Amino acid sequence: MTTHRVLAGAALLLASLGLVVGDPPASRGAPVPRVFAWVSAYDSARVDAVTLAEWLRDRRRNLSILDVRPADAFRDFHLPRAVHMPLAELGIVPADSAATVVVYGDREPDAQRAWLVLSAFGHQDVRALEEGIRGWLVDVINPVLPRPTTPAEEIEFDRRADLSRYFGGLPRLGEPIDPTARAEDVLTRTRRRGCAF
Amino acid sequence: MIGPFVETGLLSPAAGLVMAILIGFAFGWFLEQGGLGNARKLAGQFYLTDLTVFKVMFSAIVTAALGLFWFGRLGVIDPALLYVPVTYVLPQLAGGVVFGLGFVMGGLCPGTSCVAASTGRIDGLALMAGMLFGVLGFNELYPVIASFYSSTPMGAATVPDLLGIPTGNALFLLTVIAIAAFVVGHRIERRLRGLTSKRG
Repeated sequence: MTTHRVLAGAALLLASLGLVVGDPPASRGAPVPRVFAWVSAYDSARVDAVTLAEWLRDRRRNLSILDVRPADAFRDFHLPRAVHMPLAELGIVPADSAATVVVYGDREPDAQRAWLVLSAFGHQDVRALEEGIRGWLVDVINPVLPRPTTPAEEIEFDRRADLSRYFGGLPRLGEPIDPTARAEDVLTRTRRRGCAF
Repeated sequence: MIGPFVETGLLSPAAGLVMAILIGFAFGWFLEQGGLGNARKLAGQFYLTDLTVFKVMFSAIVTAALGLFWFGRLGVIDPALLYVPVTYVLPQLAGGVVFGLGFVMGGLCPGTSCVAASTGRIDGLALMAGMLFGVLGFNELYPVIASFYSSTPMGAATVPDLLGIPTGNALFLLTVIAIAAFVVGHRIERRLRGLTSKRG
């Protein structure tokens, strides 16, 4: 009998036994997953621009916002209360277990990298802004809201429109912003640059 | 349960990365020993004259599946802590086509191109460079293809869940299919090699 046949026989035997022993028991009080689970943990760590805007408007305590874009882009425009922090320097940000740190870049992958670095350095509550700065410009500063038809939609419309105006935005009814538009193009439509707290 | 080591805290994430590098070296060494750094051998797979890659990969899948199942059953590994990649049907189909085209044109896949490059083969180095350019290109194109990239999501889909059968049954099915495929593949390989040598 050749080695191949012996191995095939052993595999078939183990697989056949698998038919009778049933599935492995469910996880018993699993410890907190780390490295590999980071990928799935990232999904729950994303924060959308509207939620972040609400946090800012409500003066959420212990909230810090880090902008990982180049310095000139930061000078041009940044989120209220944001601090410029290049990706390479994220390691020096002291970890504070009570703080919520929101990171954003030009695009979401930049925030994803920053999120990974800060999480690795022991920050407990790190959030990445969905769609980066563009998400803020499109959903908070220039939101295009569907015409409300029901009372519930009207409440939602007013909430979004008020939030946008709070940050100097221009809420509109009508055609949505081209999803492929560059952040810079969307930026030119802002009423004022930045928002001082 | 003691595994996965990094997840259960037996290994620090840094030690886990060191282990990954060591395992990577071992993987590369075995690929090279199996002749999988040779583009001609790999391209043979597409002409059905050399199914080594298919056999190596399929036997690795069966070995890993059996190992994970039985270690999980014996309480050595907690399967719930393993990361299951998320399925996106259309983008992954498109990725498979691009991967396959690159594979048949270059004769190497990403892993084997590293193996080929490490032994100084020029084609391996060229493919590695192509791979790096591809990574950079993808990053630049991401805003354009982002919606397609995350379309048709299925979550962490597994065969037992999709078929609605216990893991053990799926494992048995996989093993039987693998053994049948090895037997059929071996016959095809022998027949086509015979034809090629007669023609030659």
